[in-house]
Formats: sequence, structure tokens, C-alpha cells
Amino acid sequence: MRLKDNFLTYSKDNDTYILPPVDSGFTGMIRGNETLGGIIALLSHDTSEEEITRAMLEEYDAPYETVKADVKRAVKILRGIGAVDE
Amino acid sequence: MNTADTVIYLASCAVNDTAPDPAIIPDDISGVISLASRHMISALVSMSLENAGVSNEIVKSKIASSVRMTMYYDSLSVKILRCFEDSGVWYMPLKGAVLKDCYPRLGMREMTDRDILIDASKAADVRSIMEGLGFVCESFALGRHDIYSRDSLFTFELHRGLLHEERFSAYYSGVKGRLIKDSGNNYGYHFRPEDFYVYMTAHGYRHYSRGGTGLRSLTDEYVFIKKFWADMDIDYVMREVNALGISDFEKDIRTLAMNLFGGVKESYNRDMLCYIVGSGAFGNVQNRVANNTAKYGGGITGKIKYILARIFIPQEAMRDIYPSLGKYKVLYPFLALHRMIKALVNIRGKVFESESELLKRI
Repeated sequence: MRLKDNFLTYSKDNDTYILPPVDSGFTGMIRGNETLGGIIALLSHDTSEEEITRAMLEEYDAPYETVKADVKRAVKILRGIGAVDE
Repeated sequence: MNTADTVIYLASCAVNDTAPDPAIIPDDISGVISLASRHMISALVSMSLENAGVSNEIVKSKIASSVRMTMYYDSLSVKILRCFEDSGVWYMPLKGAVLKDCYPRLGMREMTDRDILIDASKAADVRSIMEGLGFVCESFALGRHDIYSRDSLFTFELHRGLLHEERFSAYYSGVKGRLIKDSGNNYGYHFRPEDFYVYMTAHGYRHYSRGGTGLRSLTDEYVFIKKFWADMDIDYVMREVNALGISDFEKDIRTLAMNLFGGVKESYNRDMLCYIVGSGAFGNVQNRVANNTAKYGGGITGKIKYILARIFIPQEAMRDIYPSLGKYKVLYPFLALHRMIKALVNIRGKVFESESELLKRI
């Protein structure tokens, strides 16, 4: 899976935003923190939840299960707005 | 603290990326948001409110709206400039498109449109490019900039030149000579910070001396100074603003911005602050009437000259409204009369009505 190319992303410091294309049905915006920024950066190329989790564990000092749950939740939200190419 | 002071305090916290004191924030923030919106700094103020723990739907929506618009505008700008590169059209993003990056966070600098200076000789090519990208041409060759819109949300003003007003036109007539080539592309240009500051000041003065300008102009002034001033050639800047006859304005607006946001404790022009707070981001008719009447000498003579100037606007401006004037100059007095009658009978009549009321009061 990977993030669709036509979704706009921004990540700086603790601000992360994901926007659908302007003509898509979803008119909202996903807003998150630095962790979400890390996840969407990893989603810029083909990957899996497990690969993202392992990459995040190298960055953050947190238990495996916690990171895995965070990644799962983030990917679920992104799937919900149609941002993920499977 | 009154509402204006609270807005200024919250804006100061935002542009300095510091957390506001929650004790200063009123329980009902509607007045703060309303005033900030008039000055196009509601997203910036909302980020400050959120930083202080206030997170209601209005605050969230102000932030989300500005972030969304900034990201969409940035994305569209990239597409447009890529096409300019492919077609060999030189260009330079202006004003807010540059200033937004001086603010600490995305979305802090609100904009209603994006401005780009383009190679005037390629305006027809630019029109094809813009229409190819799905924009509708709202105005072409009718003034100093061509206007393109898309999705009823996005507006790009593509300028064929800068500041055509008599006061500044000679200075900016050969502006390309002042531009620096971007690195990393073939046709993009930018001002060096000194020239950007001079342009920003001249542009600000133009609005200030007409209908007025709002608090956003002060946050712009502050974030730009904070980022660039220490490394700028200040002697050059002072020479240029002096040559343009705006050195007093430059000093006043800089001192005011540094007092409000930069912690500087110098005496500043309090009248300027009151005028700016009362103006809103796009000025108001009251200021325009008062400023223009004064410009024409004040008193009854000033009023008469102002009324005549409002009816008999410059040929170039009239041509913006009536393109046929370009071919048939003899039509000018008839078109001026037509414009006046049209203004009196349609919605713009309300503007004339309020202007005539204001003239009575001056």
C-alpha cells in the first residue's frame, strides 16, 4: 500500500496535514502530529503496516504494541478518506 | 484588555510562536474572532487560542480553512509555475505567496488570492496555460493584472507590472532589472530582501493611503523584519523608500509593528494604530473618502475635486470597465456618465450613497 499521489501532504515540526484533491467528495482535512508525519512519509512508497511499525520503532522509544496500534489507527483513517492505494 | 488589545496580544503570541496566558482570553471569544476575521488574521489568532487550550468548532474551522486554502494554493502554484517553466515564461511570486513562508506555521498567513508577476509579452501564452489548467479568465488586458479563477474558490492575479500609480510607476517600470534569478529553475525570479521590503512598503502605503489597511499588514511587517532585517542593507532600503517618498510611512509602520509584536518599547504613531484597527484588511469607504478629500486640498474644493475624480476616473481605469474606449476615445464623457448612472441605480449605488453621507460629515 502507499499514499495516493493526488493527496496533498504537509509535515513540519508537530503539524501534519493531509488533504484530498480539491474535486474529491471528501471536503475535510486530516490533521495530526509528528508521528502521523512520519507515517505518511513512509507511505510515500509501497509498504505495509508491519514495515511502517518497524521503521517507526527505530525513531521512537515506545513499545511495539503501542506503535503498531498507532500505525493501524492512522492507516484506517487514511483508508477511510480514500487516500491509500492498496 | 479590550477586544483589539486581545487580538493584538494573541497575534503577537502566534507570530512569536509562544503560548498565550489563558487568563487573558475572554470567556466569549466571538468578538475576538470577529475582529480578527475583519483583519484576515483569524487563523493566526485561532492558533494562539488553541495553544492556550481553547479549542471549539470556530477555532478549529478557522485554522482548517486557512491551512486547506494555503495547501491548495501551493499545489496550484506549483502546477502553474511548472507550466510557465515549460513554456519559457519568466515569473515571480509576489506578496502573500512569499510572506506566508515568514510565519512560524502553515496557514497563519491568510490570503484571498495569489499574485504572480509575469512576462507581460507572454500574457496570451499565459492565458492558454491557465485555461488549460481549468481556470476561467475573469479579466484579460483590462488593467495591470489578468485575473483567473477556478472552482469558485481560487483566484490568481497575474501581474503585467508592479504599482502603476503615478507615484511609483517610474520606479517600477523596469522592475525586471531588480530581480534575482532563482536557483533550481530556468524562469523564476525573486526580489532580494531589500527590494521585497521596499515593494511591500510601497504596496502597503498604496492601500494605507486609500481605504486603509489592517493588522495583517503589521504581522507581515513584523515576520519579514524578524526573518531578514539583520542581514539587510538598511542604507539601501532607506535610500529607496526616501526616493519613493514613503520614508515616514516606512518608519511609522516598522516602529509600530516592532512595538506590538517585537517587544520594542519606543514611542510609536498611535494614530496609525487606531487607523489600522479601524480599517480592516481591505480598508473602508470612510477612510477612502476622507483620504481623497484631504488629497485634493480638503474643504469644499477638496470635496468637489474628489467627486469629479470619482466620476471622471483615469482613461486606463475606464478602459478596464469599457474596453471599447481603447478604440473610441471620444466615448469617454458618455461612458463616464453611463458609469455614474449605473452606479446610482444598481448595488454600487449604496457605495455612492454612503460616500455622499460621509462627504457631508467631513
